[in-house]
Amino acid sequence: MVAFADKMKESIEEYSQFIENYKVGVENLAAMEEVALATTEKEAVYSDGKRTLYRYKALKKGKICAVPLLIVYAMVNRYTMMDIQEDRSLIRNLLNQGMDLYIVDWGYADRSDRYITMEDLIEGFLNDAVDFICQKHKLEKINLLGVCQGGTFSAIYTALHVDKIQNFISMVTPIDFESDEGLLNIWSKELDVDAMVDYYGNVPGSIMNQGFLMLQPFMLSIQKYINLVDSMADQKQLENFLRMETWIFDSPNQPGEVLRKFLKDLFQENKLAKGEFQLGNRYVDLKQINMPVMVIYAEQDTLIPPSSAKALVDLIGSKDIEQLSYPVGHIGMYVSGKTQKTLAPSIANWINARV
Amino acid sequence: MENIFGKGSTWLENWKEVQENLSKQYEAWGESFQGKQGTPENTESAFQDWIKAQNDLSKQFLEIGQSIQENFTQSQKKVQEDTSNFMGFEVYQKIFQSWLEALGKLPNAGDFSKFQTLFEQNTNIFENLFKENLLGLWGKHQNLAEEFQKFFNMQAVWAPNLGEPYQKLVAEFTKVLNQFQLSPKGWGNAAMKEFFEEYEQKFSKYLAAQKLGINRERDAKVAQTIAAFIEHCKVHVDYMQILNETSTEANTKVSKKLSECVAEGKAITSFKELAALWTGENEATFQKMMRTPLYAKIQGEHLTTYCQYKKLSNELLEEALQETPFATKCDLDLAFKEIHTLKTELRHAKKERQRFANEVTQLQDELQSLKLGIKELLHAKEEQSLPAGTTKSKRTTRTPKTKK
Repeated sequence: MVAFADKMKESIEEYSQFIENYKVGVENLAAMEEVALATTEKEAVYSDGKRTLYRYKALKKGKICAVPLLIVYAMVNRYTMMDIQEDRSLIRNLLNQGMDLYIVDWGYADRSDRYITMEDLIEGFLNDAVDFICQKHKLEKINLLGVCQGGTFSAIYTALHVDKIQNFISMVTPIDFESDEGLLNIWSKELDVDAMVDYYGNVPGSIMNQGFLMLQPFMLSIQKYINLVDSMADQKQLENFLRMETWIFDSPNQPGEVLRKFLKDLFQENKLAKGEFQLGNRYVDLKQINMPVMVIYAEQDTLIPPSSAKALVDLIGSKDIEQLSYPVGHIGMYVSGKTQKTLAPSIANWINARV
Repeated sequence: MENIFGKGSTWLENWKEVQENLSKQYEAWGESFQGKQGTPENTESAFQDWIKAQNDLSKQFLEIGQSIQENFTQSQKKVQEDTSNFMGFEVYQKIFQSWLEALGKLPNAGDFSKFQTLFEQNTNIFENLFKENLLGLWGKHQNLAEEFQKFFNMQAVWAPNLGEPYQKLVAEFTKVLNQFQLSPKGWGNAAMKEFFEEYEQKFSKYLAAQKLGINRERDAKVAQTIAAFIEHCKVHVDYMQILNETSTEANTKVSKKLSECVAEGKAITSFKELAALWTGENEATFQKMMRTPLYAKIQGEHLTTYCQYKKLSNELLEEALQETPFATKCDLDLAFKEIHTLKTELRHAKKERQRFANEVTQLQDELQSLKLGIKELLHAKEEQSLPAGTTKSKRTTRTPKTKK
């Protein structure tokens, strides 16, 4: 009985402290300004409508890699994840390794983008961006790093323009969508994509957010915030949390026709892995990819199962293939402490050995 | 806000002290009764003291339970004043509050043999909390209530076209539907599914029938929209049903785990541990369910039927807006499609132009090369025809004099 009474006392004191932390945290939140993401300095060098190509300002003094690296992020979220805060920034880490970095910003689609196609994005903007960089640097080829859905776009582009890519890196990129490991793969099979796109036009970012939250509804909707309370009194930790929170819910609307093709041809029919995918009137044959390729995947990725990302290895014609993995989740690839020190040097060293 | 937790801590110290004294008193009373025959007066007064002490204790338990409840309510209100529920974990506060109350209601806190029964009595608190708050995450039922209102408005406009018998049917169904609770629990009710199936059966012939009169196209569209709405409602019931069942399964697991902990003498009294347990069990149970083909099918149908219904509903609205000077979504989409086509053609044209320009440049370069080549050839030939040693003459171009 005495032990139980002690326990009750502890319980009430713990909860009391919890509420106190919460109250302080609420006051901190009220006093905070908007958090800033992606603060690494960059310059817009080319644009087409809402899509912009940025070049990052060099951070490293001294030798910079002669062949620039273009990063193509996904459209379903913002590229700002790669530069979320100063001490968790793959962008900064790559710049510190002497990479000459460019990045594609797909922008925020609105109703006027209702009918843009994947061909417009890949053969249009992405190709123009590559040409721009080549002309600026008087090169015939550049290095390309594709991330997640951006990696799928990049793989398609590379297969169609092998003469323009010197080295290709795919990072947590879905290639084989047949897997039943990921919930998105399972759910997408039963989705009537046409009904969804025909109604919404551009599929709202809020729908995408709901879909992602549904992958871990309790953890992401409730427990995450309970866990937050203990650190709410710490201004810095709260800011870090808010940056992530800002990024998570900063989902652009998805251009209807791009999403229609992506879901139907890739998620549902797995055409790319089967060699049946067409962009415009051209078939995309991944076997055409013959330059050095690095495949990076996250071992605990529930969004893009490792098998989906690793499938690229067997589908390309390259002889020089390197695989790199980390024991992290999808987002952890950019923000986890496990990757901060080694991911960027691995990429940079690999590229430098091949330019 | 009164610091009940401070008060609670003091109360527990007092409670500990009272229990220790009572235990000593009981021990002493037992000894004196054991060895001796005991004096009736002493025994009776000790027993009465003991009963009074236990009554005081029960009263204190009741008070602390009430205080805990008040404090939770106050803290919730305070939190709501400050943050307007932006965090969304008040469900855990309610669960924790109920849990502490359940523990606090034990007649004798050390008597865990009675705990199982008492806990089972309190599981209703958890069930209702879990279901209502869980399904709030999937808040479509609230939007659906609004859609129902629109649906009935639509029916009211359309029903007179089909005469009195149909209108009577509509009134009958409206009455039945109003009896259903439009909450997540109500939506997952099997009776709700039967209602919609019966509705569909009775109304489908009216909905599918050819329409007559000048407004027949509009009436047909309305009928299609109603049919699509009913289809979505049926799927929504399935969706809520599977969520309800999974929620119950998860809740049962949580209850079981809590009981097991108590039985092992390790009752969870930490708010964070309780929250983590609830999250963990629900996440695991729902993850397992969400991987099933059945769930994928129902979820897919849920989204599809919703989109189909809303598309038809929007088309009706757009038709109504045709009479007004407002541009509709469809109008804008047509314009954007045209713009996109033009932009695509322009891009291709630019590329073609660039290609032609490149070809022209190439041809010009080739022509220039040819010219140079011919010039050199002629020059070389000329030099060959001259006798050896003869210096090359300068080529001059004589311009003929023009006659005046």
